[in-house]
Amino acid sequence: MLLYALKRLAALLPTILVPMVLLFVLIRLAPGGPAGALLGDEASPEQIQALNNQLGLNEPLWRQFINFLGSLVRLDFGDSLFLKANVTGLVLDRLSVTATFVILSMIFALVLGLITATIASRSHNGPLDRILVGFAVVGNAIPSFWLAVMLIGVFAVQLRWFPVAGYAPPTDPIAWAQHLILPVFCLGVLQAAELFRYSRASMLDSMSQPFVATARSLGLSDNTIQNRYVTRMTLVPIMTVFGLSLGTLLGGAVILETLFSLPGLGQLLLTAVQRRDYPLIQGCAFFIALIMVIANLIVDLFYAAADPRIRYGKAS
Amino acid sequence: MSTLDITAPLLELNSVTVAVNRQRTTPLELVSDVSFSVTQGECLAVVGESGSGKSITAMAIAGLLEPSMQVTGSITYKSQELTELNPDQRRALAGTEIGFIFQDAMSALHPLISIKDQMIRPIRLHQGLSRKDAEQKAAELLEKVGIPPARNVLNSYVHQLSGGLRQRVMIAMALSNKPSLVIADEPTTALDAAVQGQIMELLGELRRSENLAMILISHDISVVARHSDTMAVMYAGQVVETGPTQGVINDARHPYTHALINASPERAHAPRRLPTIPGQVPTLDQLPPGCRFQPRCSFAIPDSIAPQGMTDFGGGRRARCCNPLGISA
Ligand SMILES: Nc1ncnc2c1ncn2[C@@H]1O[C@H](COP(=O)(O)OP(=O)(O)OP(=O)(O)O)[C@@H](O)[C@H]1O
Ligand SMILES: [Mg+2]
Repeated sequence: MLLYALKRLAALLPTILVPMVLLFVLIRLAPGGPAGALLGDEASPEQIQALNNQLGLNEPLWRQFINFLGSLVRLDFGDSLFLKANVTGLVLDRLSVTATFVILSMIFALVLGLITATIASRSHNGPLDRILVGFAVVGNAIPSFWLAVMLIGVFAVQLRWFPVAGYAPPTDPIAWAQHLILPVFCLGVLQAAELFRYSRASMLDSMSQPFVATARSLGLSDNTIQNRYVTRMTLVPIMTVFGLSLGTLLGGAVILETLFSLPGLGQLLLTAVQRRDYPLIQGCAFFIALIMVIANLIVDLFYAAADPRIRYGKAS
Repeated sequence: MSTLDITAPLLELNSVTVAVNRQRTTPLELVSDVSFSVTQGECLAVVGESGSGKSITAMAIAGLLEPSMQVTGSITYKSQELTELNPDQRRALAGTEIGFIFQDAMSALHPLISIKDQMIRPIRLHQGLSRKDAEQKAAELLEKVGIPPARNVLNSYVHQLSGGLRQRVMIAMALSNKPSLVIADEPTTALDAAVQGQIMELLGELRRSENLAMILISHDISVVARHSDTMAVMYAGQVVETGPTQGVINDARHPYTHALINASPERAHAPRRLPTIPGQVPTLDQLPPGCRFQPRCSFAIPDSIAPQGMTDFGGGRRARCCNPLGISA
């Protein structure tokens, strides 16, 4: 198992490296630069030139690239051009907010998706099934920012149940929860719609498998069969969906953090891009890529744990 | 249930019909007017071409049919009318009174759950044992079906086992709560010839040692001849002939039985080609009037287009034919 984990990790390294190199090139191709953003519209070309010299942006591209690779290895991306603080520290600071937000959303999505899929597949083609499928179709079609604006409009502005935006640290649990409920619901419910579709299809498929007939012939109850035999079969497809939608999930988190003013990684990245804060962009992107890789590794390891056919290989 | 007459059959089917609901049209009869009985310790073989309704009949007995299928007629087990039981009462009999051995153990066992966990769940459910005792019990069961503990089958998953081992596990599971009746639906079809023989021998031994009644569904006439006491021949959803196995095989009354037995490899004495039955099995929604075999029958007479009931020939022999073989007119 450990060997397997290390192998998977090695296979995932390019997943970090390739986007980092692409990013390095792309931000330098984009019009404008940090000097322009720092000095404002009135800056003269000479001022910009001087600042670029100071920031090391006039060095040949290959030298900048080598410096950049060095910073990757050392996990030190230097100081943010605007916030004047160490990038790694800034990122790790914000990471906890994003991690809480995303993980809570994932748990909510998983619970909601699995429960609704179970209900739907057990009343296959019944009215309940049809209603849930209808919700899932809608959930798959609406964009997260639209849902966020609607939720804020209804529950925060009109009903005043929740704050409109912002964040409170977990040291004040009630305020913390109040600030997180709407964004977590928003990100989670859309993810649940996706999970619902795959879990429902997988459950319906499993229900007609011969092992269900075997379990029934042994006198096991419908609930036991559903919870122990059918749901068990859906864990692997669910993890696949999770792995595949992780990018969307993080992308959604960036947008929602901005809308709900959550001081997370997404918000940090967005301001960094607006200000062409190269070190901060690179640092944020690196840690987001790292999260993706670790999450994918977890998915892979989970596969192996959930499916003995993967664990031992087909050959044994 | 109280006064069990030892001569009364353990299981009796009387005019059992299974129909499946269809959209916008009348239900389709998959199995029509099936009657037979099995006594304690007896082995009844059910034979017939693919699609003749053998598995549907078996699942009707075991209560495994989908909700879209309705059973009419009567199925009595130990003097209890099974068709009148509610799902919970049915479930209480599953595994404890009626065991079911499926054809393909590879798909009949759960791919992601260890053999141990699959075996102990029904044992614990019905016998209320602790996990440890149930594991002990599972190990004993595996030994009983000829799997030594050294194989470590309990900690395996189904994909790691050979076909023969899988089927032995399937048998051990089916017997784990001591049923009196075991239904084996083509238990050896998925196996190679040598292993087929071993599994059939095992089933025979278990049947004798546990005094099990068995319904054995098979395509293999030599297996049927060797292992069953009585047999029922099915054609297009009906039983066309029943009786003691030796009598039916050696001296068939129904022309279909005769043709089926002659079409089996062991029976064909001619070295070159197996005799085949001309024509095709009718589809269930386009059955011919009267005798369902009549379009393919070389002994058909004008009476064959009238509906056919079972004729009793004495000695337990019955056939659904108006022009039976072996009876001099
Ligand atoms: N769910 C279903 N809906 C409609 N028809 C069905 C259904 N299941 C089975 N049938 C039909 O019922 C008939 C009997 O099927 P059954 O499985 O009992 O045949 P069988 O005798 O066991 O054949 P085999 O030897 O191939 O196992 C077949 O014509 C089959 O197509
Ligand atoms: Mg069958």
